[in-house]
Amino acid sequence: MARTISFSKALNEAMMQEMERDDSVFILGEDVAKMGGDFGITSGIWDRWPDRAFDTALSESAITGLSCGASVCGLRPVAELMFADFITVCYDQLVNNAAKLNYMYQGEASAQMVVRAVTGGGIRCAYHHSQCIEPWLMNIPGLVIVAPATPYEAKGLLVASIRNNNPVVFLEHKHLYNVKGEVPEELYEIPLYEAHVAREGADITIVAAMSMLKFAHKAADEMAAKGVSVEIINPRTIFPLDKETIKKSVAKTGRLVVVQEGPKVMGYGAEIGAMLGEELFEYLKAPIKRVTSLDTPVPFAPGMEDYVLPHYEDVITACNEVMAY
Amino acid sequence: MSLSKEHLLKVYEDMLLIRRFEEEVEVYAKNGTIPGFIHLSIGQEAAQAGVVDVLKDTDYKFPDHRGHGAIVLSSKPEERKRCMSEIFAKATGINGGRGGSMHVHDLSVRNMGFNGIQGSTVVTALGTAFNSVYRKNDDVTVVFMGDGTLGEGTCHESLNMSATWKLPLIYVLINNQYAISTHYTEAHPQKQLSTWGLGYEVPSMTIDGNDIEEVIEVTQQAVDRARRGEGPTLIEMMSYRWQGHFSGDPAAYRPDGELEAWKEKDPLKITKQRLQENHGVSDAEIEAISERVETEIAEYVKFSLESPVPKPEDAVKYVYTDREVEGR
Amino acid sequence: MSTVIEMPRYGANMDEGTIATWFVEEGESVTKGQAIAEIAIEKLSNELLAPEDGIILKLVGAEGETYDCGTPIAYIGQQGEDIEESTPTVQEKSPEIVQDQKQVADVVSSSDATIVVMPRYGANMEEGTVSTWFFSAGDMVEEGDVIAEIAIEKLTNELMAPVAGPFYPLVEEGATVNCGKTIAKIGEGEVAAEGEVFSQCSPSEMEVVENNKPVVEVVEVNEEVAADSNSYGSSVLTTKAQKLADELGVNATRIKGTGYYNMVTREDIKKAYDLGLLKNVALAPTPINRKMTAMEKAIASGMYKSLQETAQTTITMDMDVDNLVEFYQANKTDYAAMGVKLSYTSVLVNLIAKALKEYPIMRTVIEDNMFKELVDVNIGIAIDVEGGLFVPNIKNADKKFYSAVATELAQLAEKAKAGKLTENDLSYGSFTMTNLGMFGIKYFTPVLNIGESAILGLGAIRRELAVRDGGFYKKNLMSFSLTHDHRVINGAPAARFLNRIQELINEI
Repeated sequence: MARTISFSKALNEAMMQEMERDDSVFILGEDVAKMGGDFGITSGIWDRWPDRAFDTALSESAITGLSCGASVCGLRPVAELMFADFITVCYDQLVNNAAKLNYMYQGEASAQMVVRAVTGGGIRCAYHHSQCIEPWLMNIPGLVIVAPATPYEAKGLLVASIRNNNPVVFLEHKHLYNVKGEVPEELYEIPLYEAHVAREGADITIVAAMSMLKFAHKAADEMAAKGVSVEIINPRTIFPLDKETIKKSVAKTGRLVVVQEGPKVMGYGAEIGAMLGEELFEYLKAPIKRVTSLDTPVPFAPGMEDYVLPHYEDVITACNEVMAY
Repeated sequence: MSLSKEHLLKVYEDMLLIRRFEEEVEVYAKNGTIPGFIHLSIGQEAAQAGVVDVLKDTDYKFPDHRGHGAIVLSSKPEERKRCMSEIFAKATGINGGRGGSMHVHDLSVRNMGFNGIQGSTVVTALGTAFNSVYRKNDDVTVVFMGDGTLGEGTCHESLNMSATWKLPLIYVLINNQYAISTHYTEAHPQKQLSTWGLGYEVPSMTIDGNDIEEVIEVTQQAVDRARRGEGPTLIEMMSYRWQGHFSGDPAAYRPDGELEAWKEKDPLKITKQRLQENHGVSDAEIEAISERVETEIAEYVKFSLESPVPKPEDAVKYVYTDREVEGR
Repeated sequence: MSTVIEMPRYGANMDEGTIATWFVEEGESVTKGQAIAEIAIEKLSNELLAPEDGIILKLVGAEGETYDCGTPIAYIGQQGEDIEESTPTVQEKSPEIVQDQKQVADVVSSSDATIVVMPRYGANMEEGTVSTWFFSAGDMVEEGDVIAEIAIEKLTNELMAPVAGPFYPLVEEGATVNCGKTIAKIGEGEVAAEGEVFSQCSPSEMEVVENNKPVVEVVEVNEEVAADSNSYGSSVLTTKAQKLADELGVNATRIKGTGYYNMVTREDIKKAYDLGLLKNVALAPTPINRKMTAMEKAIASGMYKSLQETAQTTITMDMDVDNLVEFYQANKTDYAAMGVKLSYTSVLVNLIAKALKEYPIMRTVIEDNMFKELVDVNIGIAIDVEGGLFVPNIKNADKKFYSAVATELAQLAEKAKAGKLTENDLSYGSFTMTNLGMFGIKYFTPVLNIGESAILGLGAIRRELAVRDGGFYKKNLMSFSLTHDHRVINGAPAARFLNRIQELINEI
């Protein structure tokens, strides 16, 4: 039965229910046990399973390294990176180890681990707590990057990620934690590698992940008032991308606007744009547009940060431009 | 502690096997049959053979990138030729030609594979050691490292965590004096690298890594401790690599006479001497061991040379557990 | 009854052939397949084979003579047979076809059966092989059933039944048959023999054969469409496919698309276009018509006449024009002060007039089988005007100096633009100069002015590196293209004339 709960609660529920179901699942990270996580996402787990929730030293390499090793033994670690930005100090374990284990072990064992990473800007915490890190991981074959945008997705995708045998970096956007939505009480999985058509339309395809989805919906409403029908694709899994769903949509609309919170260079927008240019060129009716942050670090001062992050008005401008082309 | 005659004969044969294994590998690396580059551990046989001798098949082993010896001896006898054909990049290789010299693994004996990144497995090994605690069994984890590895920050994270959580993890630090060309005294302040473990309240010691009896004795103590749930141990084993960093490196950075001095401390030579002097082993018995090893190695080489190369298109397999990657 | 042997037709474009050699004589006995003649067609030759065993009764075609395809050229039969009894058959029969007709001579056309012919899958396909029949004689087939596999070189295609009914193959598996020839029938009625008709049908005609029923074309790209013509029309073209269709001038909406949502892709259009499937729906390009002006008519007929009536050839030469450039640069200001617009052309007219004076052959034409020297050095100058071209000439140019030539040139140009040139301005020329140098043209082949034997094309002046005295120097080079009537002026005199011009330039 579905109730309305927050994105945070949906994540917590996914972990609790999976731990209930499978004793190979455990959580570790900085302050995830007794405190329940810096953002409270793991609260209650240690109380219930004190021997399956571990507070660690500030050692991201040890956290992810331990997860790799334990997962090869058949455990299913769910590690938390308090801020996704910290991934740089455990990058080796994710890139050189986790992403390669299944390849090296030829399917005999794999890094069946989840690294929950708290991502995104807008909280006035400057460039070490606000970055969108998915581009740093998007050309590492073997890794999976999952990016929920709604409470329903938060639970279903986290459950699927825990059960998945590949190393998953699970991106949780801070701005979504308090967003509420309908979430079934029972356990369910939302399949990985499948994008979701969040809204059907005929004239423009907007691809938007995580917190950018709300921009897309708002823009779709505004464009609809002008008689322009917008289709919204939420990738859900950012890497490997569900190319087919995106291609099918753009084949129909011929126009693409990608909204991405991170800098313009080399984000999922770049990959989708290149992929469509390569594989769907003949269907395109207008140039591909990207609405993104500026190519700067995320600054601290609110006015500066707002200036850098993507603007809703830019989504409308991009939509108008592709229609006018 | 001194080993029984049979035990010493067994580890002598183990050491000879990996010495000859690497000598053959070097021949085929130099003549171009083996692609890429090869890191040899000739001269370090006692440390590798001694540690593996103490371990069970179910104990986790993380060899370092100079670990041919450890992987060969960890493998089941019938699989050892596949360790060599892996280094030859052949389809019959223990990893199907996917990993090569730097990434040989065999999960059936819990050889977890090398890693080309120094310090990487030092934290990965936390996971297998953690698993023994989580699953409440007595399997221990051994991670091999070198003097150079100690420069990596992960060593701190690993020792800190394993010591705090009392994980059954043994750090085997084979100090072969050089990280490529840099002598350990130029990179670390400690006179003995093992003292580094003391800050974590981890039992740490420095031993003669070329004395296989000492290696076995100390490793056994560390393993027993770990199995009892008393936590990690750091063992620094002093040794020396006879070759350069990689096969073909002339090692011009070493002072004259150093190699010759260490060759006097050749673990095979020392062991043979003990066998003959303390256990009355005859030349004929030693010769018989050599012949057995030569026959064995000849078979590995023949197998490796005759094995087919892997199918190039298999390169796209196993990127993910549950989805295909596009081929050409 | 004797058999007639006709001039064969070896290809769709062959209309006639020549009997190069008869290998047999009248009365000679021949066996089927024996070469009896060599037939020459333009640059090719083929052997003509005897269609059957018999005696050569009469050779009616003569060696070295050319006959239309289908014309009887010989008769073959049994000793004593009367050749007059044989009736020449349809013109377009080759000997092989005659032979075929004999085998099924008793089969006549009927409207009760639909014939199936060897389809043409592409414009370049001439024949196909029935690699497999999927039904046996008398089997009932449904419309759309795959009845045969047709192999063409490296490809195979499926052929579908156009109608339902009892099926009868008329050629054996493995038979290679020209496109359009009958290979099977569906229905009990009798049909014309294999190869009877349609052997010359063009790609656009191929689909419709007889009994007013279309024979189905099955191609890779649109087999569903072929089987169900009602599925046409609903598909949409991709953006770039629409552009391609527009460029090709075809309506591609009838193709079954292979893209997303069955959209027609560029690849679909290309395939269908190559297979000739879009030709039938091609929109005929409508040219834009405009009446020719009198001047345009005159130019058109003049150019045509010039090329028809003379033996024009062009030689070219790069001349060192440092001297010319230097002279022009040094003097143009002085001339301008005198109100004269000095130009390279006006200087060259003067020099060329001198050369022409020395080379009367350059002013000689043929008229009524007589060489006729045009005594006046009247040099025509081609002037480009809107809507055409004028060639007024400077009379007695050899007697005029730079300033006079320059002034006269300017006047002629002005008159040409204003349309005020007189008959006299345009008559009595003996040589013409034409200049495309201002467009950067180096070499071209000017067309002779009617009534003249030489025309000199002036190319662009350009700075180039030239080797001299073992070093590199920048030089001004100008290309001259001299068209001359080879009936009057041979190559060497023409070349000497050009060399003389170079000398004169050097002497300025």
